[in-house]
Amino acid sequence: MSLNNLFIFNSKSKQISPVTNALRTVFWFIFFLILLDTILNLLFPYPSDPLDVSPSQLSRYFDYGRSVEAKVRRQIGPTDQTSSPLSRAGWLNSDERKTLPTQPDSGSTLLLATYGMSFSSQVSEAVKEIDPHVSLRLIAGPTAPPNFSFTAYNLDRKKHNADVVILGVLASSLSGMDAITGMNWNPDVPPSYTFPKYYIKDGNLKSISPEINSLEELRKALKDKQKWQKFVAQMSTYDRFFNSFIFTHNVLDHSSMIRLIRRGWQQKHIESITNKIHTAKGFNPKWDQIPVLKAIIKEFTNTAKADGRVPIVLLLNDQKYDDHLFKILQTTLEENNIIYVSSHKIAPATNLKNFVGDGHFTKEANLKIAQEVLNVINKNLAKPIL
Amino acid sequence: MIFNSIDFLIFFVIVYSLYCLLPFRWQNRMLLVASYIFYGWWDVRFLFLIILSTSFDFSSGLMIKEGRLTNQQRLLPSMVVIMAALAFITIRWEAVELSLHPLKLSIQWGQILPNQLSSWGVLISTLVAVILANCLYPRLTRLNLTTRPKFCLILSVCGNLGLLGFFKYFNFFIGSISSIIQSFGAEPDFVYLHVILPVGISFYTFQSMSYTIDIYRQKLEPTKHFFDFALLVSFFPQLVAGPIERASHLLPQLTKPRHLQFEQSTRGLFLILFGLFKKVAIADSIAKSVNAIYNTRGSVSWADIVLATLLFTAQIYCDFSGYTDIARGVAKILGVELMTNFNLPYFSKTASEFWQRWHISLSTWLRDYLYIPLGGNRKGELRTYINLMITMILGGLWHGAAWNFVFWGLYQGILLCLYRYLENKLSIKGFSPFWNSVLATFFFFILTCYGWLLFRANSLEQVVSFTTILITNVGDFNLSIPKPSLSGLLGLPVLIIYEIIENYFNNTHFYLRFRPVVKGAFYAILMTMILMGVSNEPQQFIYFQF
Repeated sequence: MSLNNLFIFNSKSKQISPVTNALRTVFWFIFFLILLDTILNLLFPYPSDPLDVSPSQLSRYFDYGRSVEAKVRRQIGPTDQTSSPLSRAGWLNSDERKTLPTQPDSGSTLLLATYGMSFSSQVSEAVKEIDPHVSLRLIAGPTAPPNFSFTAYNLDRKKHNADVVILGVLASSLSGMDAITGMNWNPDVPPSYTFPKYYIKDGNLKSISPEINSLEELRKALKDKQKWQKFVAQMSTYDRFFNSFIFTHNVLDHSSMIRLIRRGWQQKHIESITNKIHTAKGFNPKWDQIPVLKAIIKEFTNTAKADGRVPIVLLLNDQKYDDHLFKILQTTLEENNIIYVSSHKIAPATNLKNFVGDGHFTKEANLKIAQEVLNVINKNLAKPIL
Repeated sequence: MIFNSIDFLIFFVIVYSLYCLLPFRWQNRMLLVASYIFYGWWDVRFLFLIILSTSFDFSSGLMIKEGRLTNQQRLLPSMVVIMAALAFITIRWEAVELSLHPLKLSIQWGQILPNQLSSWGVLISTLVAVILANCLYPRLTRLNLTTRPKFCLILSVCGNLGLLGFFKYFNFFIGSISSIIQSFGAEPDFVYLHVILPVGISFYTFQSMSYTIDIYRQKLEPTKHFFDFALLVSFFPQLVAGPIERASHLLPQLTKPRHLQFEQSTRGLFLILFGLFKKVAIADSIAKSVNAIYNTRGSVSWADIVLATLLFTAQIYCDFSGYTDIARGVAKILGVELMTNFNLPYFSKTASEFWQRWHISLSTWLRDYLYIPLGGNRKGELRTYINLMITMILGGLWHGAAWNFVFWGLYQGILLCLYRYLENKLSIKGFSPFWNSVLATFFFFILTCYGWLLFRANSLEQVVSFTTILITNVGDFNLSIPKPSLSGLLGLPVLIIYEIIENYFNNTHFYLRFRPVVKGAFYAILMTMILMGVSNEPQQFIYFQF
């Protein structure tokens, strides 16, 4: 039999009816789909060890659509040390904060406390690189929204003697203000830490605290059905990104094909929410969290000034966000004399050269933003650093 | 509603189920309602436009051929247009709330009528226009046999072009005139319109224009049934992005009973699967990389532009031909054959061959209704070149109200003229016909890619800066273009191999000869890549903007 005959009917082949031919094709189609599903699962398994932080790109790709709950359960080991680094990050009640400097280090003249995410931490590290007289107290959560940063700042207020405090606001993280955890609005790689959701009542900032506040509590809840259900119920009420098809762990998690479908659903779900928050023209000024963000920024500035510190709002405009973050806050910043640094002119979000592959700023961009932060610090500090 | 959505899947399952249950006449009525639902999904106000255009051309068609309308043929379109203005423009449907759990309808009567003057303006203008048209009708019937068809045709063409011009080109022309005046130092104060471009307006106005022109040319008999014509204009598989069907091809299929055939349905399913593969697995996964380079305001390298343009060349083909495949597949399942719109365009060796293979329904439309009436190639070489240039520039402008589309059309016109001039002088001596053919295909592919740069560029400044980089920075491989998603990286080679085989067999049905096991494996691979593509960010069809 020639190779051609293997693939193609020849003229001497027995004639079969179109219906039989179609049924056979459907059978083989389903057979090969199941086969491909199995092969993908076998070839690209996701490591079960929570401490294995470097699965291959393809393993991650075919795992993105696993339910959030399954991913979170996989991250959590019997102890904090045996849990994945991502699950440990960002908790507001973390003991790790106790090891952070409370005074400038020896040889330094200034302590800079930064509350935000990796972007704001990288800028602060770049500040120290430019000027070694600066010591850093960095508190950050993975892609943390402003409600996390503001809560972290409030909890940390009386625990150090920083001269300058920075509140990092990342444009792409703003939508997280409509959530109480990083899990649902970042479901590809869900950080499990929690934070309060803020709202304005009678002109004042109020908050709803999450049911779970530490990794230890999360570990216990995962074993206690009632507690877990209570937390899930709270997410379904207050977390705009929560969707039970995306969140709930079930048998479908075992199929790589279903995982791809779930990822598609996930993308559409998140896009439908974020489209109401941000479009190519900018942030929607009617979004109910915009007044909350403005109130957070004002309260951060007022309390820091009252504590005798220099408060700086660091606006980080990442890719796809152009100068939108600055535009939505410009009036508030200027009317209230709030000290700020915005990246939109220093490292424009529209220039690909300012970003590395994972979406963070390049080192050069971080140094440029850091230099501006230093200029602002020197301008507003009673005594220049050195 | 877009084809690659859950909404469309549910919609089509319902439509198909009803279609199988209903008798022929009701099938058509159901298809018409379904088409209006499909179109109104974007913006219900656009339905008014399509109904207006339908009524106008239906009456024009009959007036050209018959010279008169029956009372029903006159009153039905009049009533439909007024009802459409009331239902789609005037009533505020937000005030109506339908709950399915439990079944409950609540209407806030106080808010059902709008407070904007513009909505009332449309309703009153429609009433006035309909009354005026009915008053003028007796005078129109009294015109002589030579004047009346011409007059009605001019009315129809002007009406369609007026609609298109108002929604698509008004701001462009005002902006261009304003820039010209500004260049002389004056400060003009023109009014710009704040209107949204109705989806698919270019496609359905061209389609209904060809209907009246063909009747005038006595190539087509007008339909006497308003709802048949309404279905011809709005038939949902091809409504928003073509193919631009000719009434002579589609109308008989819609007015005669259709028989669903098993093989036609299976071929339709394959076309849907293959169209989704092109759109979801390839085009959408490439879009991010292309957009990153073309939307950047920072510096880009030579390699960035080359790669982004090559990817856009694949994206626009997969996006548009994918849409056409799905449209043709959906129509086939309903027993309707739509025309082929793409035939392996990137295997073209010359510019004229490219236009016989790319967006065939548009290029043949332009040929039949523009190029040939201009004189085609019957009035000497110079006039042929001029006619080619005019046709292609207007073809470029059809794609969008922007100067880069005009320049793209101009570029395509120049290519057509050059290839016509150099005909039979392009082979390299010493090379076999096969290698000459390969080289010609490769060379023309590069020219096509540059054309897509003109097409995709966001502004004239970008065209100039990208072209300058392409010429002066050759070999700058400092890449900043993001990597396309996996489905695109795997899907592109699969598509290229598939098309090479299709080109070799010279038969679009070649895959039918595969054994069931091979077909099953091939479909499973396509489905897997579609699912991989589904997990990427969804993108709108590029041609919806036209």
